[in-house]
Amino acid sequence: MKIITLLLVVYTSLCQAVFAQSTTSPQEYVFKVLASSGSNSVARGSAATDWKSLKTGQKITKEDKIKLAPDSFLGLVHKSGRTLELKTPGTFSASELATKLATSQATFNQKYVDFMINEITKAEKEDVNKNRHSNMGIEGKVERGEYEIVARMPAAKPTHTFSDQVLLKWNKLPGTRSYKINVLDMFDEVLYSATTADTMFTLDLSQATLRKESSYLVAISSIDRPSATFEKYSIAKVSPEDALTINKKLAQLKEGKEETSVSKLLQASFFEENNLLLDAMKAYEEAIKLQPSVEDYKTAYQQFLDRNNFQK
Amino acid sequence: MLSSIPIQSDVLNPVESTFDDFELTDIVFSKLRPDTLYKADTNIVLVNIGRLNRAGIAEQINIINQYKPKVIGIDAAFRTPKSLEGDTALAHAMARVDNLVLVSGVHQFNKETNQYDTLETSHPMFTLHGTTGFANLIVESDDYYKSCRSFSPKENVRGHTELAFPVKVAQVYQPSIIKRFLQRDNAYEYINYRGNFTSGSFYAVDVAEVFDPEWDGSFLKDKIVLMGYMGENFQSRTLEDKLYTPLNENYVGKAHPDMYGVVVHANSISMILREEYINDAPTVIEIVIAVVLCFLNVVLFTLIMNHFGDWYDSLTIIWQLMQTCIIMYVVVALFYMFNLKINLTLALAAVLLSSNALELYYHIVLRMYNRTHFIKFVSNKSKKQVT
Repeated sequence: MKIITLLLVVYTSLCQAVFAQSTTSPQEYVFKVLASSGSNSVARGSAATDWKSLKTGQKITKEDKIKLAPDSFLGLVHKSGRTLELKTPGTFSASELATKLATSQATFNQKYVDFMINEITKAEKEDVNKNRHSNMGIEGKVERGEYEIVARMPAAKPTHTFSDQVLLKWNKLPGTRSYKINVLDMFDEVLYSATTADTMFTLDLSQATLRKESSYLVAISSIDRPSATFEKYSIAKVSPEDALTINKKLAQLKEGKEETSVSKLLQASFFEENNLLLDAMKAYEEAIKLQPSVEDYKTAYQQFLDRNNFQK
Repeated sequence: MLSSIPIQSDVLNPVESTFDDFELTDIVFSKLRPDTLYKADTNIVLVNIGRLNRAGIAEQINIINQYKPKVIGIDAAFRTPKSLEGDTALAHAMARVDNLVLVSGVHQFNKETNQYDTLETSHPMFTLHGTTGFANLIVESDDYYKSCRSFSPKENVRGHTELAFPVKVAQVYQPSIIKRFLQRDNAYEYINYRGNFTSGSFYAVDVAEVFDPEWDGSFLKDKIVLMGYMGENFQSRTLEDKLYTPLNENYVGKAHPDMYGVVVHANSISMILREEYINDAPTVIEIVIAVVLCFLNVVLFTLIMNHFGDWYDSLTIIWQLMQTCIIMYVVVALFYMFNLKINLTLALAAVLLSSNALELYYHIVLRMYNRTHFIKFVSNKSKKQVT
C-alpha cells in the first residue's frame, strides 16, 4: 500500500512540480477533451483558482472549471458519448455543461470516442530499438510517382462509398487552370463529365446518369495540359443491404445531435471502421471546414491518410 | 523510464497517456539545449523540392550541380517510369552529378534469415547514376504520432548490406568518418538532434529561390546538398512527410509534427560528421548502480528503524522522493553533459522497494526464522531430555 501511495505521490509531484503540464484527478470524469485550439485552461475543483493548460485527451471531472480564451475552440465528449463544442470565451463549470446535455442514451458512439482519443493519445510500451525491425515502417521520404495528377484515394481498390456525394480531391498541376472529371462505366463509356478550376469536386452519384450503376471509373485530367498523366480510380457503391445496416448505425451515432466538427470526427472514425474510406475522408474534411483553426483535426486527418495508404 | 514502472490504476490513466512517448532525455533537446549551442551546420544545405514534378526536379539538379557540391542526396523516390520527357530530363540531370545518393526502402523483414527480403529503389534508369541508402527510420509501432529518436545504420537485404541514407551520404562525403562510425557496430543509433531548419540549424533553400536567376549558389561548392520535400514552400503548413521529434516544444502531451523527413536525415548526417554520438550506458553499470543504491538504502533504513522507529515511514518516504528526483536529475545531466543515455529504472525500483522490503524482512521473514529456530531448539532440547 505504501508503494502505491509513494508512486502516486511521485507521479503527482512530477506532474505538478516538475513538468506542470498535466493534472490528475481521482474522481470520475464527465468529459474528455477531443480537440483543443487556443489557450484553453482548466482549474481542478470548484474552488480552485490554479488554471492549467488543457490538453487533448485530458479528463474533466464535474468539479472542474474550464476557461475558454477568445478565438479558441474546445471539443468535448461526455462520458455518455455525447459531444459538445465550446466556442464562446468564458468560464464554464463542468457540472453545468454536463447538465445541459440531454441524458438520452448515446453509448453507441463511445467506442468511436475512445478510438479517436486513443489515436491522439494512445499508449505503447516496448523497447522500440531492440525490436527495430518491427518499427521501421516509416520512411522519411516522399514519392514522386507514376502519374502527374494524383487523386486522394486509398491504395486498396475498388474504393467503396456509402454516401451518394463523393468528395474527390487531387494535387494542383502546374500550368493548369481547369480540370476535367470523367465518370466512366466498366466499358469506358463516359457517363458523366464536368469541369472545375478547383482541385476538389463533389460527385453526385444520385443524378440520373449515374444512379443506375453501382461501380464507376473516375478520371481527372488537365484541360490545359492534356498530355499530363492520370490514373482511373475505381469507386463502388456499398450493396443495398450493407447500406441499410450502415444507415441504421449512422442514425444511432447521429441521434439527437446537431452536426458539429466533433460529431463529424466521430463519424469519420465510424466510416473508417467500416472501411468506407472516402466517406471518412469527407467527414474529416467537413470537420476541418467547420473548425479550420483546430490543428488536432488536421493531424488526425493526416494520420488517417497515412494509416490507410492514401495516394499523395 | 517512468512508463516502465509497473502500476495499473485507472486513476493514473490521464498521466499515463500524457507521459506516453515521453522520455526524460527529451527535455534536453526540447528545453535545456540553447539554440545557440550549435551554430548552423555549414556542411549541409537543404533544398526544398516542393511539389515539383520530375522535369522540375531535373532542372533544380542541373542548377545545383553547376556549383559543384561534393554530394547530392535526393530524399524522394522515383519508382516507375512516368512521362518520357520528365524521365529523360531527370535521368540526364542525375547522370551529370558526380556523387549522387538516392533513397531506397527496406521492407518485409524475414525473422528466419534475419534479413530483409525486399529493397525498394527508384527505377534503374535513375539508380544507375548513383548509389542508394534506405530512408527507414525507427518510430515506435510505425506510429506517426510517436517521436523519431533513432535510426538503423545498416541492414542486410538478401545478402547485401544496405546503408541508411544519412550514412551513405556521409560516407560519400567523408569515408574515414564512416569507417569509424561503422566500427561502433551498433544496431541502432540515437539521433543527436542539432535542430530544425526553421531555427537556423541548417542552410535551407526554397523551391522558387533555386530558379531565381539572381540566386548565387556558389556556397554549395563541396557541400552536401540534400534535396527533399519541405512543404510546397517554406511559408506553407503541411503535415506530409513530417515527423515528431524530441525537439517538439510540447515534450509532454500531444502537439503537432515538427520536422520533415529530409531534416531528420540532415540531423543524422550532422551528428555523424561531428562524431558526437549518443551512447547507451552498459547494462552492467545500471545493475551495479541499482545494487549499490539498494544496499546503501537498506543500511540507512536499518539505522533509521533502530534509532528513529516512530519516524520510519515518514523519513523513508521523504528520502525515497529525494532519491527519485536525484536519479531523474542524474539521467538528464548525464545526457546533457556527456550524451550518455542511462536507464535507471532498476535503480528507481530498488529505491522505491527497499524500505518495504526491509520492513517485510524484519517483521515477517526474521520473525518466522526466529520462530522456526526456537521451535527446533525446544524440540531438540525435549528430545535430549527424553533420552
